[in-house]
Amino acid sequence: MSIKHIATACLLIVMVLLPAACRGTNNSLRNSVVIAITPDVESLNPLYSFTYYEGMISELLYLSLVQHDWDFEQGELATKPMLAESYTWSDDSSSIKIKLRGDVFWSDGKRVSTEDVVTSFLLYSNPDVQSRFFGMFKNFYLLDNLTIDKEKTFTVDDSLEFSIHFKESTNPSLVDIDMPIIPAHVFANIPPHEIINKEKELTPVTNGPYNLSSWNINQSIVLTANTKCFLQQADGIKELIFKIVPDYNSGLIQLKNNEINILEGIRPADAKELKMSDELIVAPIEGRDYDYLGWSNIDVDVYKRSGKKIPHKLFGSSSVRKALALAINRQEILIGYFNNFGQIASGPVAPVFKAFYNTSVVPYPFNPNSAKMLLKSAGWVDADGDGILEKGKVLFSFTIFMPAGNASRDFASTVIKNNLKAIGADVKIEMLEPGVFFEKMFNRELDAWIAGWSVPIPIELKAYWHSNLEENQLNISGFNNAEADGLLEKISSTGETQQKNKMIEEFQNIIHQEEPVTFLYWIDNITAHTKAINGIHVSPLGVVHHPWNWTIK
Amino acid sequence: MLLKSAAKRIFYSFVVLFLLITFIFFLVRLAPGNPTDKYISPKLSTELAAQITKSFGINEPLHIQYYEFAKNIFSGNLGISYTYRTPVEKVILQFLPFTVMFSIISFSLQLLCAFIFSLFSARRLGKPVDKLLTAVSLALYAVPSFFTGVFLIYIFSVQLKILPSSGISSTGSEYFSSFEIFFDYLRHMILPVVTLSLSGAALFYKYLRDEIETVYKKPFVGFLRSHGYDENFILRKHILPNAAGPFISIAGVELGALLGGAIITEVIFGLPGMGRLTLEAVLSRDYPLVIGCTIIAGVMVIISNFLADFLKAILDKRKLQEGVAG
Amino acid sequence: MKKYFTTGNVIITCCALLIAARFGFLIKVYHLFGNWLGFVFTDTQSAFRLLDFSTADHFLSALLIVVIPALVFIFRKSQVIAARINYTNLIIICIFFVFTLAPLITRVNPEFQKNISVTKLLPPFSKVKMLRLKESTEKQYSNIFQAEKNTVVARSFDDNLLFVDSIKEFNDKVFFYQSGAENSLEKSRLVLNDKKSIISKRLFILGSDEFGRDIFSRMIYGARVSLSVGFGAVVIAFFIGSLLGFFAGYSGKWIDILLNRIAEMFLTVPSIFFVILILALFGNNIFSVVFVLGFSGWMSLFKLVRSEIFLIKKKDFFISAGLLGLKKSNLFFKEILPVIIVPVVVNLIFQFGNVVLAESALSFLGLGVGNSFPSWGSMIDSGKNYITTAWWLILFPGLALFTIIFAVNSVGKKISSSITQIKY
Repeated sequence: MSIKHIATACLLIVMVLLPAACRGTNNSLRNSVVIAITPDVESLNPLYSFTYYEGMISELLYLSLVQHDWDFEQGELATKPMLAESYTWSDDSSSIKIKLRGDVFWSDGKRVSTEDVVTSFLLYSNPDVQSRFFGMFKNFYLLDNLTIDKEKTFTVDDSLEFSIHFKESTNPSLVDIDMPIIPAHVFANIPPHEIINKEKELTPVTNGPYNLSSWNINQSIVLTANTKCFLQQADGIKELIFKIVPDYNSGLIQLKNNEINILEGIRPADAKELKMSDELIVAPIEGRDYDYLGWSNIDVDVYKRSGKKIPHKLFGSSSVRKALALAINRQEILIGYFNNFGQIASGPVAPVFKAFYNTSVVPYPFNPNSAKMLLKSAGWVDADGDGILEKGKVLFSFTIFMPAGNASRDFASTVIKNNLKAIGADVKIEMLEPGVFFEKMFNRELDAWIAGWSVPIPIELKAYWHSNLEENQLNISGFNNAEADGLLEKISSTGETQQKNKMIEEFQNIIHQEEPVTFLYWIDNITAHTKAINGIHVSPLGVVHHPWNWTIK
Repeated sequence: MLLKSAAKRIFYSFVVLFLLITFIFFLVRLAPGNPTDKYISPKLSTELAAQITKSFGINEPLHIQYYEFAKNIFSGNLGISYTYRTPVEKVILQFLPFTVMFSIISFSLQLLCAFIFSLFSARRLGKPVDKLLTAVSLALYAVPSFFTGVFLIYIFSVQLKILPSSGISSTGSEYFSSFEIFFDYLRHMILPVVTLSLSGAALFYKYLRDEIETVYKKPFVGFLRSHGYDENFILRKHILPNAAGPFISIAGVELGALLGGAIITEVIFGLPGMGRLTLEAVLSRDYPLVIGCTIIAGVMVIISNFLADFLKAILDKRKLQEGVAG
Repeated sequence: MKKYFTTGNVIITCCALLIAARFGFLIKVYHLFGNWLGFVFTDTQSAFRLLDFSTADHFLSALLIVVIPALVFIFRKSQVIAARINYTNLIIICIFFVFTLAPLITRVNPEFQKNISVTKLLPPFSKVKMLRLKESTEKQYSNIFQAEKNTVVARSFDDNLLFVDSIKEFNDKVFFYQSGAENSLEKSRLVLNDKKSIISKRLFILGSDEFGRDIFSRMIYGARVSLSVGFGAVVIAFFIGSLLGFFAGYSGKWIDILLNRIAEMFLTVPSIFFVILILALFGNNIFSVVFVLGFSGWMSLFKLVRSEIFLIKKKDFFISAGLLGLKKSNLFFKEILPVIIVPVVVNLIFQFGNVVLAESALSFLGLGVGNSFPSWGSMIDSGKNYITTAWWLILFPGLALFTIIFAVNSVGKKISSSITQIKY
């Protein structure tokens, strides 16, 4: 074989392949939309859809009793009936009467009935099933093993009407009944502890606006419109293709080449270029995710040994923590990395929650000089002239840990390190493999760290900031403030909205005074989609929200 | 005799493999990180994490876990993957066929390129062309594969837009005819195969060329030449068989590594292969799956080394005993 | 011709050029060093406390720049130094210079960044306007040494420096613009440069990265990290591999079988496995990366040393040495080491190239040395995100990596071909 032969062969191959390449794919002709997703989709069963995309897809396959929209005016959820045709609360709000729609059928032809709803609730709360909602039914009557008490909870009138009775002195809401309903006639026959391992072998029996057409592991998930579903319209999109794209850069390229139509999590640096495109709409979802620089407020060693909470030797005082917040140039990170897709955070309540976001709380500005003054007043001075602050024999020296593999935090840590060095702190940044980092963080082994939280809808504060650390494991900084504790307890037991919102605003004031961690910024989730798709409303609930309302131009 | 030593060798290999998975078993469990960490979230209850820990059996003492594990391994049960919630062998079967195909395509390409170019060089040893080829091969070898991958994508997918940048099939390929599916697949494989093969081909080329050069310097070549044998004849009948021995060992190791999964290429091009599966299993602390992937990687290495030795033995009958028994 | 272009002359010329270019700076460093020496005699304890890594680095390179030419001159007759310069030698000299004299080659701290919006992603040879504020009159440091140190040793931050896109002077005020944002300050607070202008310029010779850090400086300091990782890993591989190989080869019997099985065990599975596991175990800082890369490379050395020793054991000189009653350690150093050192060195040299490459691959998987130090691997890795907009981020470290591996491989090949010639 000589070089000539090879060259001829190569030429031949190229000639064969080129036409195939130029033909390309034209999604709009077939009336379908391609959505890029991350590879962590392992189950489409609502019992086990733990991750963001799993939840998103399973909610297109299985209907819940109610559906949500985002009320931009109020910055709150607006809930409407979905599988339920109507619902009425009892006068004392301790029970709800629900009437199901009569026109919803499972994909195998059976009609959705109250039995499905009751079975779903029992399965979700069964410890052997290990569903994602296990342990979350705090407002229900429960048995010892945390399963919902069927007798006390449900009264079934007929195959479409039933009532749910909640536990006394709780504060139930529609959120408590918001979960996709699964078919009783499929799951009731399987022993509960076997469901988790058998669920993948079952052919999915669904009732939602879409049917699962094919699932090619690690490649794509294809949903086709269920034309019989009451949500679907005649000119709606016939096919949703969720394409698994593990690498960010290739996702971006495919978006530009029109191989995918919707992409989330676009890096701010690329958003500018995408905006120039005539075919794409770039829309940020206003952030519910914030990054923060965590400080251990309490001395963890002492706490672990004796359960006593004494202030941390470096970060125990609120003036030191305020000084740290003042020293960090968050604006520069926000502009430098996020191209202003986000905003500086002042507390744990996202600005999207307009109803109770406290606008009077202003984030600490970047001011190294007042940071130095604050530290001086707290007793931290550079007495020996080596450039590093000390207080008595204790050096102002610490290591900030962070999980590896997050571009924005890499960027932030570089700026933060230099900012803190400039006020006389001896800072090191150490990246840990995420698995290691999170275990250490949850075990309270870190004194200073960079991480992020995503604020759920509806908002949850107690788990993060209440000082009972045994119960609230997410209060990793060990923040303890009696006034805040009192407010948090009242917030979770109050049903009246106005009052509740007032208390949440008050809570933000306390957090701002104490600055338990340095809140960095709210990060917008930048999404882009093809202009040809009509009806996409980008809201805090995501970009793929109610796709049955979409049409293609 | 031959059969017996081969059997002995295979037996030892599997003993080594068992030792290895024992080692990995303890290493992953002693390493920091916990498979249930991902169940700590405001959206999930603490009771769920406790329940899942119980069902994984990771709160038992280590020796009891190991006893259970060893018992299961010998009855052919690898356990259930923590992330996929299906038996480990089923998970692996979803990823293995791709990896086998991908690595065999890439391996053949590497061998082909290495052979063609080293034969080309062999006739021009020391000439400028040969020097240039050597320099180019070193250059290709020195370029990290993640760089090659990103660069190829930039050229062929972003700028020229003639090749897809990720996955193994186009969207909507369900509607394609089988002929189209085949070409679609082929088109998707071009960039990954080139990325994966470049550095390997360069390495093979260098090895084979150097071996050929070494053999050329041996006295017997001069002897043959002085007896008026044709250069081509010497190259085919004497140089190549002599040079092939060490080369085959290297190729065997390389094939084993390829079959274990090509992590970086798979990550760049979003391919469903063993490499990514392994990486994800380790990162999510999916203990049974980590063990499963180790076994596959180990078996692949054993098989390809065995193949290499076997091939060497066929090529060089004198080394028969030594090669297989050693 | 041959007489002038010797390796020694090249080294001396380079040193002379560097001294000429950094003369003023060198004087400052010597002055600081003198101060510090004085300090050592009066207050030893605090002298050593004040001596941080980068200061010591400055002192050392200031000393070496004088010592190296002197040494070269003394040993000018030796074969290596008198040899004619070639590509490989030149690269090795460059590496050596970059490694030891980094603070003299670049005066910019590799982590230095300020006003990201103005300085990020600048192409090579960009010049950026900068304003310098007067030092605050308040005496910051009680210690004279500390105050002087801050003027000599480059730090990663500087409160008194501002990078700007453009300025406008208006009476006593100076308005400056940073990517659209307008700010102003009193003219009296600014330092005038030699030309009586408030604006000076800084050159980014190889451009800047996404943080506005100087790529040239990062390349120079990154060389240290990348090469140290390579050296460290190779040394670890050498120790583990040759010690175990020696034991296996020397003792034979069951120790040999056991060690051989262990080596096979590690060869059986792709090293990426151990790499990920061990990095997870010890956290991915520079030491664990060095350890992990060394640890995953000991098997080939083990096999090599073991088989060499098996060969030696059968040879006459070894048997007679044993009969003469030489101790085990003596046997190793006097008889075995000289014989095996050449193949071992060749193996190590090739491994060095692989390790430097592997470090960059680890960075790609997010398991590299982290962002506390610049390394070529992590520079390439972060550069790949900007491949469409900023090619210089990936080109320069990529070229450097390639050059080193090319040089290292040719050294290895030269040595190995010289052995082959001896053998036949």
